Amino acid sequence: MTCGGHLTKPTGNAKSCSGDGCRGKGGTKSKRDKEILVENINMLAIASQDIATTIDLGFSIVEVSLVAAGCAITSEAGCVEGAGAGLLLSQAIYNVYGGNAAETGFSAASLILTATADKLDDNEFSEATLTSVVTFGAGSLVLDPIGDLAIDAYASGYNHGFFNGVRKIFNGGSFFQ
Amino acid sequence: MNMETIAVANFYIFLIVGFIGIFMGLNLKMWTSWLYGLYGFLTGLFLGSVFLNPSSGLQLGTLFAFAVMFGGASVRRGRERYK
Repeated sequence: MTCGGHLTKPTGNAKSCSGDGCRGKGGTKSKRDKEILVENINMLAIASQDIATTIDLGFSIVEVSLVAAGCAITSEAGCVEGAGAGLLLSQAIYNVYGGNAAETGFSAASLILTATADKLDDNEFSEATLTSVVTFGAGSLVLDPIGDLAIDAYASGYNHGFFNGVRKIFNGGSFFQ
Repeated sequence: MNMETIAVANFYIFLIVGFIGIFMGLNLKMWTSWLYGLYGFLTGLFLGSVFLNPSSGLQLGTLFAFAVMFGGASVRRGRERYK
């Protein structure tokens, strides 16, 4: 596979490499320029989603630490109250100090970039865009860093070719590729 | 500078502006917040029209506007809830 290898495949753009338009195999200059543009936009989409996942991972570690600390402090009283306080505190930090905002921003950027690459490639929205819409919508509604991490890790995993898209999964396909 | 270059440059500018709008949070009761959606719509319309056709531009514009406004509103909701 040429034309970007694994980067083009998960977002449904692999077919741009199969015909005359593949870079280095002929086609007009404007067509090749468009393919380079699509490839670059795809790479940006994948990077943007990975950044969102990394942000979630950082705040998830904070959440686990605060819940564990709260549990340890109130262990004599049964741990639950302290763990609950730690959970609320970590969610407040995530939402008030910009963690959720940054994650949503990068996830939205990934959706916009994926949809644009899809559309410019073959004038259709493929499963990559659908998966990005679903993960962006779900991630925006979740206010907890660990919940967001689960959603964004799936989106990143899909982009890197580890998981199937939402349409395939909902039609009875397996979760892993 | 041709139209395609302008469309792509404007697209990347929109990504930055849209990110800032989402990060700040959008209050959809204020008309100024809707300008982000309008900019997104026009960016998608322009990009799609230049590279494909106006119909595709409408689809892209609608998606861009949805992403910015939904993301911005949800960020604001989360921030307000924990303040």
